Amino acid sequence: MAKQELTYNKAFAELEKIVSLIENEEIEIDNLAQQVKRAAELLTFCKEKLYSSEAEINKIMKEIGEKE
Amino acid sequence: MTHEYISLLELNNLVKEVLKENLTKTYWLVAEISEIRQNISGHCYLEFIQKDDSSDSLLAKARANIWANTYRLIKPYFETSTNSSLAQGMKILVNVSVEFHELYGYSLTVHDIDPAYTLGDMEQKRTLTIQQLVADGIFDMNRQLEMPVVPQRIAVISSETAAGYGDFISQLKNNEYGFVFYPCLFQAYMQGEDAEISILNAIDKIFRYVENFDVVVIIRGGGSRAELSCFDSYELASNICQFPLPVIAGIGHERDQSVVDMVANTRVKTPTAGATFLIDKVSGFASEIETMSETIVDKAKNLIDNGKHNIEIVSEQLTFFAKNIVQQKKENLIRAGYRFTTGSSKKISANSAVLTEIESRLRYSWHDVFKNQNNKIKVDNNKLVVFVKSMLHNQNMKILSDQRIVFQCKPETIIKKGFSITTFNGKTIKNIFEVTNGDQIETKLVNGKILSIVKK
Repeated sequence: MAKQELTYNKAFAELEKIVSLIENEEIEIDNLAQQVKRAAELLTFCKEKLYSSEAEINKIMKEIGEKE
Repeated sequence: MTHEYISLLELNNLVKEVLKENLTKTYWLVAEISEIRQNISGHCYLEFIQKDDSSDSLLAKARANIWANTYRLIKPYFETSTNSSLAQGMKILVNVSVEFHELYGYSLTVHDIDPAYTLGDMEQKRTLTIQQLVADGIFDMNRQLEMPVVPQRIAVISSETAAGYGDFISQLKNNEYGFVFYPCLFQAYMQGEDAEISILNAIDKIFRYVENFDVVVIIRGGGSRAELSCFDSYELASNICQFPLPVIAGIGHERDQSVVDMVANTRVKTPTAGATFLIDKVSGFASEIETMSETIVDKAKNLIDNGKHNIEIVSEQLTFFAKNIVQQKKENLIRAGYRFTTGSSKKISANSAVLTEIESRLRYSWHDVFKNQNNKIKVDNNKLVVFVKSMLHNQNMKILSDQRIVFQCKPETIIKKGFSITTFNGKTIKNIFEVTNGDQIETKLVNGKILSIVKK
């Protein structure tokens, strides 16, 4: 998978794909571990963004707030 | 001649008398408020104007006042009816009496107000704004924007001191799930004359940092329910329509919708509701990915269990078949072994008899072959001696004849027959061009040499 900047939308779309692959049992058992690992990565990405404050965004917000 | 004269006071009193006699009743008057202020004692002072409909130039002007005892009744009545307070630029229908004061001059005293007129006027303006937005093709633009799945970076247009702003921020920060939000305040006056222009400024500023935000929230909250007319303004509404981020309007206006409410991507009733909307949106996403996570884990577990089960079945089948095959092969081997032991001894004795026979036959035949070959070699030997002898004789005869020919060709033999050899400088002359006049040449004969000079 190309190293693009991940977003909620991209992560969500990819998770949906993995869910549908697994749900429809279209997945080879050999690929299962790989897909589950990817799903875990995506979930971690989303959860970190949801629950942990990002210093970079805080900094930007502060800068904008100070300028205006 | 001196004129009779009266004092200014007398004149003003005259005017006052005339006005009083001729303008006894009260009049329902439509006018636009161009100035309004309230003093400490609760009286309200206004200036009414009339503008030319087409050119906007002033046609008439008059001072007016609403005495405190009337204003106390009129103000809440007007505000509850129109959700607006009396403000500059507003058109009102008022019941007035004409006053003339010798010191303060001409003015109108307001006794009553009919909010329906103002409502109608405002409604008309609103309608015009809406019609214009629709005609411009922008009315639905912001509403058609998709709300980001996780709106966390929030540009807030509000006043820092507004109670609603505080509620909004604390609601976001203390959300029960622990989601992170990044609100950034863009200060604006949310009421009063400067509200519109300051909100427009805030929108411009947000636009400069637009890539840093997911959503814009306009919250008014708290304070008076009045002075919402700026949210019906074409300028503000059209800016919101065309803003590239979804706008959430929490202007806090229970009864009527302002145009901004109508064109904003999402309308909420209060700032708190705005915060709840955002939290719900994020929590919706969080629970969706949670569900997906569970599905993936469950299904993956199922797949693995199925795989295990399949392997078990196959493995059982495999052992069963393998056992069968081994058993069968074993039996075959035993059978073959038996056949081998019984069959082989018979075969060995039979074969050994055959071998003995072959051996004796071989021995006899070898004797014969050897004898034959010996005789054949003897015959061949004799033939070879005869052949070589005759070949040698033939060769000898040929050599003798060749010798004779060679002897006859010797130069001495040839010279004896009258031929001679002429040389020049030791080289045999074979061609007339090899010598020139005066060359000394040598002619060799059988018994001597002749030296000659060439003359050609």
